[in-house]
Amino acid sequence: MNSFKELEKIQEEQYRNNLMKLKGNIEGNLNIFSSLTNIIELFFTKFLAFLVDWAGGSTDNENESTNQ
Amino acid sequence: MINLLYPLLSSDIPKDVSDEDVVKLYLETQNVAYFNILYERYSGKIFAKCISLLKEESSAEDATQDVLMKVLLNMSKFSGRSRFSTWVYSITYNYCIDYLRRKKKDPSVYVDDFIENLDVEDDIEDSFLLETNVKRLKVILGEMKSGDKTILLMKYQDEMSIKEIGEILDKSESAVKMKIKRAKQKFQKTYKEKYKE
Repeated sequence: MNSFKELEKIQEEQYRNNLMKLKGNIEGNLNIFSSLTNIIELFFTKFLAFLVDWAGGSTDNENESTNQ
Repeated sequence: MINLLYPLLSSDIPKDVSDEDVVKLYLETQNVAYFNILYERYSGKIFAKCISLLKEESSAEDATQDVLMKVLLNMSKFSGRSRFSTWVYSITYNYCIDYLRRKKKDPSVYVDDFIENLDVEDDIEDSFLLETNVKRLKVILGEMKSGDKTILLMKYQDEMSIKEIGEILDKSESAVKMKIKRAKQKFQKTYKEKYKE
């Protein structure tokens, strides 16, 4: 192993505790992103349909029932 | 039999699965266990680069966290043209260079001293750097400017090719060779000043 790689390995070992803390932060960020995505997935389509209705348009379901 | 598509723990995944396969599986399943594998493989290396370049522990922590989030959020943009490690390190180096530019801590990172078409004959043996005592190496790198240090880490720690370094820094191959030559000269000069032998 060359001295540059050896230095990298020593630094990895030296700061192992910092990395454990960082992992917790990243997992926290991931959970926030995941929650935000879920909220957008759940409510965005409903909000869009509401806007279409409000603007005087009709949803696909209404079109289908009219055709029948 | 191990279910590679839905593992419960990162320890369930065989150690010899390549980075590229782990990325592919993560993108297909969004299973956090795959990200944990990449975290275990790269977080230490990213931190080591950040601490070498930024010098402060708290800045290195913030930088490592930001780089890992960037890697995670941009994973779908990884094209597979380069090695995954090269892609991760390019994000790391570019982040650190931008950070130093913003903070104006080290003007060397934004003074473009690349000179094309010069004689790039390298007169310092690689073994001089590769066999330097680790404690001395740490001291000398600590004394060097970030631009020089970055290019030495890319070449000797990450074993990147001239072409890969050029792509990351957006420089021609001859410019990269010149930059490496100068960084090696500065390394040798600092070594001789510090450890008169």
